[in-house]
Amino acid sequence: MKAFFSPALRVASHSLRLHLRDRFFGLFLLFSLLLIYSSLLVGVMAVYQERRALVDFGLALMELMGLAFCVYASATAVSSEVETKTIYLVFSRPVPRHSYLLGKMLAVFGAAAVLLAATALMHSSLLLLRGHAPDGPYFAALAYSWLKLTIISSLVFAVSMFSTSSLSSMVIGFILWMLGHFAPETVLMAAQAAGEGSLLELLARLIPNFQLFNFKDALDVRGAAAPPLAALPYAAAWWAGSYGFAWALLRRKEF
Amino acid sequence: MNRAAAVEFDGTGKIYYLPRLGRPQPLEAVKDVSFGIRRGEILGLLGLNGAGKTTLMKLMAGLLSPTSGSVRVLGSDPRDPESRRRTGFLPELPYFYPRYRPAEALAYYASLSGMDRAAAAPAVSSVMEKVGLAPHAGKRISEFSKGMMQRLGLAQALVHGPDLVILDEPASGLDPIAIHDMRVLITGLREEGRTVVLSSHSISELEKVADRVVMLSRGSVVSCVESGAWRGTEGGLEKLFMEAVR
Amino acid sequence: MLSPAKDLAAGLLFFLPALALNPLAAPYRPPLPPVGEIEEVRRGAAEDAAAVSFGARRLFADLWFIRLMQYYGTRESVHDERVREHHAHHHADGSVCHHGAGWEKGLYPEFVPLSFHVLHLDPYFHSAVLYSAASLAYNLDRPAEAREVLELAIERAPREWRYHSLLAAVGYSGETDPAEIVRLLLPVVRQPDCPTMLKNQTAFLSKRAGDYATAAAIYRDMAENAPEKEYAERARRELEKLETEAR
Repeated sequence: MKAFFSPALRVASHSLRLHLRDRFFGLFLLFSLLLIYSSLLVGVMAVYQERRALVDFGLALMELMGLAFCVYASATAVSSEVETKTIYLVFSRPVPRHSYLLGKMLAVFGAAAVLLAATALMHSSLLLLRGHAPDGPYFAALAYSWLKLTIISSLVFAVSMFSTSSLSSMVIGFILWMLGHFAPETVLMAAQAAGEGSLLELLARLIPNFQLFNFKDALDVRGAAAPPLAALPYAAAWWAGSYGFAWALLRRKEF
Repeated sequence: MNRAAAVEFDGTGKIYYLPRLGRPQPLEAVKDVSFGIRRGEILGLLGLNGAGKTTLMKLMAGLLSPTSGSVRVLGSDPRDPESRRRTGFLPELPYFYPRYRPAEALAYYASLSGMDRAAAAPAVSSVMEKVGLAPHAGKRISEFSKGMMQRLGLAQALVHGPDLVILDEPASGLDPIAIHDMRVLITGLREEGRTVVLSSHSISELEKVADRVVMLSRGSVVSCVESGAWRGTEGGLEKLFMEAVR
Repeated sequence: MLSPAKDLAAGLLFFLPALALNPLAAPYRPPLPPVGEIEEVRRGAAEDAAAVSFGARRLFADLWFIRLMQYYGTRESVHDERVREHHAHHHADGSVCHHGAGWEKGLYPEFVPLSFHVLHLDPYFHSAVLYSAASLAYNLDRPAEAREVLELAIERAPREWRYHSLLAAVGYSGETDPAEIVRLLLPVVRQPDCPTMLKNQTAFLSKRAGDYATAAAIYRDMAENAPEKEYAERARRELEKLETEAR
């Protein structure tokens, strides 16, 4: 167990530091700050719905920034080390490939958490400045957003193992994100469609259902997202699938 | 397996498969290579571009698997964790994260080699002294010159105290003074009892530092000469190499 | 020889547990209406697609509500043929349409489509629904359309009691018993996200019903909490009048 986790944690710790020091991380954070504070204008236009407008804008923005960062970080996590040949310095050491992959994935998850926490702090300060307080559903929405981000990160990570370029991995990531939000509609259309129903049904089965985690889209509504006991195992299944897939491709890869 | 051998190649071959439309195209990088590397010696690999030097080094470092034959490093398969723990590898033109300081990078690689923090800290200081990076400890890697980068590359290969050190083109891109310093470091490793394998395009460098040189051409060993042979020959190692590859 | 195709195939097997869970998640329906029911308004199809793709329907509902408020809060454009036709004749009750903003009467032909659009994106946006229906019923004098908005809202969010209350109140608006309308509206008016315009209307109806205490309480709340300056000032003036009359 130690032989598996110890190198993984070392890789994770180092990679997390790299992500946090990456200039893109800083840019995303700065951009988030600017956009969050510019949402004051939206709040003013919304008049007596200022709190709702600020909360909705902030949550959507934080998730979007998180998406952009996670897709970029996952697509380049391993590929950048292959391109710079830094991966030689790792694999010439007693680091099992499965530990290396786990460490890389955990680092992206951790960086996503840090980014969300930092932007949530900024956003909460804005809400408090305007006399509104973030509440339980607000933080629950953030937690569910994080789960969504970890799923898309793990999928992009897996795609990057066979993709020809980081850019194509990122594009595939954004497409999966959008398709995942249409999952319930795809199921509905499959049920209603005649001939093409089986194709749609197949598509619905193959993509993760991000609406299960879209708590921020119906904050005051019961049943807005899957309960944690269902959401967590679902997310974990996608993490595990992506991790296993990445390992299957990396285990015998030569550099 | 020869007990005095640090590395043994026995009928080793390596074929790369280059992706093409339709069937992948095979490229035989190393063909039926058999030789041993004695413990405590400095062995040079000499050959033209594409001769198979880097492939042999990667096979020793456990980064590649042979397609045929076998490779043994310090008595084990080079892909075994124990073998890798005792091996240090410097690739050609190493890269490090630019915003790190050298000690941070070395501490990371030391930890990946299985050293805990208590053991790694003094090892990092010691190896930085050894390679001459101690005065530059406060700089970020982005501020390093090419020579300093090579020194850092060598440092990461040595930080965990390996028995076998594999250096791919260690003098690549260095100025004459840096080359001299690198040579001093390499001969120092032999005095410490370590086995060193290095490749180079520079015949003169190998002449000055190697105990033995294996010459490669198109993936095969064409000659293996002891240092005495080129020291006693007019024209030296260059003449022997030209005769071997033609 | 290594076989990347074999590794790829082996790797896909790891997704089986996740794929097996997907059919179990299929019955999960988000509480928002299906995408297919969002009717395009003002060439906003791309925005609607973005709203769904990025899981930000609530945010886009907010933006469309802001557009609705801005639309209703600005002068009607006489370049709109529908508006010119409407202003060409008087109303049966002798009132005359004003061109202006400030919650006056007018045609505002896009008011209902904009309201529906907000509803289709987020039927749980209480304030928007109440604002639309109350504006239609009490300012624009179009109770039938107000009922349409509320009926659609109730169809989408049947448990939202505010919609039922306002629907009942709108149903009574043709009757001569303002007290009953006030009774139905009071629980809605007490909610913190109740549109100020509806509070104002309820206060007015309370006065008509002779319930000055209730009217004063509502005006006091408006004077202290209404974000719209005009409503707050109006409420202060009404409160002063009521206090003067009480003496």
